[in-house]
Amino acid sequence: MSITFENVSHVYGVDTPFEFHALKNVQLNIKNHSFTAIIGQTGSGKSTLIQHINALLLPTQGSIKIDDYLISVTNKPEKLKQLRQKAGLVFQFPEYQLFEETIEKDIMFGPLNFGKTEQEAKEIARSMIKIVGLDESYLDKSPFDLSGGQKRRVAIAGILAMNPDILILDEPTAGLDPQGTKDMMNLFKSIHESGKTIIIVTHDMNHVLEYCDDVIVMNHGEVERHDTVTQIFQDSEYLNQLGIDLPMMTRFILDLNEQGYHIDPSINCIEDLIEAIGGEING
Amino acid sequence: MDHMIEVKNLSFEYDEGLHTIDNISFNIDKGNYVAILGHNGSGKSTIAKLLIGLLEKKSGDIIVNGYELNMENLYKVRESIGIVFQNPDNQFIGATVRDDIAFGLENMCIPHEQMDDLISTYAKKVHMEDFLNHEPTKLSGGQKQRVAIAGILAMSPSIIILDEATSMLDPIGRREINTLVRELKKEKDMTIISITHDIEEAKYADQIILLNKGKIVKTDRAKDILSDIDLLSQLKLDIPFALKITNGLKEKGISIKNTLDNKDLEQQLCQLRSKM
Repeated sequence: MSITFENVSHVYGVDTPFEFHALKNVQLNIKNHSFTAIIGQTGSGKSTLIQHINALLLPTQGSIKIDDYLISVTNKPEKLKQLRQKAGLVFQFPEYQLFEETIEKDIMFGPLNFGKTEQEAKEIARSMIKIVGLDESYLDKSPFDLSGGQKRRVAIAGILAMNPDILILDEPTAGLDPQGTKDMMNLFKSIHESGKTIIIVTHDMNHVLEYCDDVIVMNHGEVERHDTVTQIFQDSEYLNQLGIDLPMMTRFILDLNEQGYHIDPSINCIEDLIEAIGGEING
Repeated sequence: MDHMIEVKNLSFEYDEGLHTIDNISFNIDKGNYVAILGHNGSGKSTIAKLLIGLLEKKSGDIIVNGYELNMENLYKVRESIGIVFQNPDNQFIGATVRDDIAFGLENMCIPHEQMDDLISTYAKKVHMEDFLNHEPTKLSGGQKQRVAIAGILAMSPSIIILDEATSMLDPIGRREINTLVRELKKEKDMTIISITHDIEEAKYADQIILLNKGKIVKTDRAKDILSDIDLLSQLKLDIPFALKITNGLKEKGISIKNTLDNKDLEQQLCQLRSKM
């Protein structure tokens, strides 16, 4: 399922003193099966953009095409429910959206809503809880007795239970500890490898370097760049001007290269970097 | 008086039998910048809440700024400590930045004439002097946390606790707060306790208290704790970037000194290369 934005604008509070142009003429094509990062400063339109992908927000102008679904000013797709099943959105702090008595019921809610039987939904809950790294014994517990990181896993299991083709994540690791963050990112990586499209809003350039293929840069409501990770991080001056730091590893490689090293700046894992530095020192 | 904070055999439990804080003792010296590290659920935030008397200890002693923390001294202790919480949206009271900074001062019955001076002094200190009439809700996360810090500084506490104060901020906000904390540290009088996951930030602390399952695993100079790869990996904490590199190169038989500082690592690597 590729996602195409045709000239999309979104205005909040039209004809009020608070009128705000959150998206301006967005042209965009997000490739099927890509792992795409959306970056940009707070207030640049990142969250507004992703909420259009499952029609939580409708464009003020222009249209969005996802597979056979067309979302436009006048055309709220009749099959909105199916679209939302295909494009699952995980908000920032999804743990605030848990509401059921037990974790099992919370995960079953989506599948039941999309027409699965009680039995099917239960089976889905059982397999999803394992995918997010918890075991079946959690199913009978209350989601409110869990730690922050565990709650977030349950909330994500609830979205995965709908088996979406596109998973949209709004800063999914904010506030997690380093191990929780690593586990969470590896979870998305394995979901991506199972053939899904992942779209992630993030401020963490180290994650973008390590996990993503493509980057969309938002600035003042416009898509300013849409390119591969390697291309984007080559342009440090441009990022600097947006107040975005290079990933620590890329910065380090560029600094070394300035002093005579010849290391490939697109390296994205520490083992490769150590290998490259060792290679140059040992000749 | 040597220690700004003394904690002796402190224990606390939310549920009976489950020791959230298990018999810990530590001291923090006046003017020190101390980072408390440990992963989620290790008891870091509980310690902060015990220190300001938001939670009641089960046993042990807490002495802050010379006052033993008990019902009688509670307000003396709270006058000594200011705390900044994780979520910038959960700690605003005032309708404007000015009102918000004024809140604590009003509580302390500071005369109105002095208040204006104090507000502008501390707004300047956190670089928010141009925003005094702004609504807090319209500020960015980093700006909100800076206003929260100004409100605390205005009450001139001896200790400031940052409870994951940067973890919900974007990189710009995070940098703003980290820079401000280092500025405060330079002024020496302030004792700073930072509860954090950010190992690259903890490098700047004087001392680190490493916490796991409610117990202190180790407390030492930041440099020594952050150089202990085995300990950090055992506790599933991040390892500083520069140290990962020096460690990997050593395994390849390259002789290089351990370092936490990327610039220092770069220099060493350039020397190694020029020897070739």
